[in-house]
Amino acid sequence: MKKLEDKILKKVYILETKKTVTSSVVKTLVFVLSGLGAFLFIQILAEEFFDMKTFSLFEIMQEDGEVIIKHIGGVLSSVFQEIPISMVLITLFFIVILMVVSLTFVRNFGKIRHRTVSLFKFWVKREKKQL
Amino acid sequence: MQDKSDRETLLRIKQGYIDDYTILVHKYTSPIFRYVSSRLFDKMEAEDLVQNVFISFYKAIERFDEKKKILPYLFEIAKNELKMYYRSHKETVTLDDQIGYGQTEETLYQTDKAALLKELNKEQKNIMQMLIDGYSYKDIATKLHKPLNTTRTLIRRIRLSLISKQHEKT
Repeated sequence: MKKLEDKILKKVYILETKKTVTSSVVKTLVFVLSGLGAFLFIQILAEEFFDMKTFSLFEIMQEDGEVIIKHIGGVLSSVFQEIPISMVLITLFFIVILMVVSLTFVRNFGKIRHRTVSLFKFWVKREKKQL
Repeated sequence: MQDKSDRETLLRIKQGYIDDYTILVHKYTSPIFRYVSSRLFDKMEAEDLVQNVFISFYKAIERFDEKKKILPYLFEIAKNELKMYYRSHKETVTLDDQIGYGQTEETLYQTDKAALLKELNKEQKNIMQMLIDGYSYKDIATKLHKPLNTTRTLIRRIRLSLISKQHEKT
């Protein structure tokens, strides 16, 4: 019976190792790619805004309250007309993915740590036994 | 560690302490193995099946309600695994199988035509004789006043019974 139990445990650990490694690799890749994507698109967007002097429209904020209230609608509509919507959407998409992956990692951090420690202990113990 | 209740163990496994699955394996391998080996006489096959049971349970552990008892669930998995095992080891003959259709009348009766035909009843003998004489299925159906599909089934059954008798003899 002991042999059978060992076989079961070995299979379970192999399964869990494969699962953990695959999910770690996939999540890391998604994190890195979405991070790079977000960084790249934010940079392109910022450059475009500076080129088009979109931010100079907000200089109205330095004026009096009454002036701001009177012209804020017009300023905002001009800003929305100027921004490249598709670029902004792509950037937002990357940022959302990045946030989801990061939050999932933070939420499951304990679980991942315990699992990794258990796997590590099992394989090290096995290695020692074989030696 | 051994004193932990199943509920606690399950919760810990769900939290990532997969070492604790050892406790469940130690606790439930014997009853599951006894159950499986009482239905399967091949020890190796029984062991493989028990392994599958525990792996299936491990895969489902995230969804498993820790308030429920583990053993009935394991028995249920074992029952399903046994069903699958029986199904995969069941002898079946598919319609497009080579048995019967792959063989010509000559090869079928190579051994002892007369002796084999003796074991058939009158109607079956008649049908086989017509086949040997080169009648088509349609002709045989017309002669027997039976639908074509019924005739096909009859011929197939005769062939299968002849093959099994041939096997018995060899």
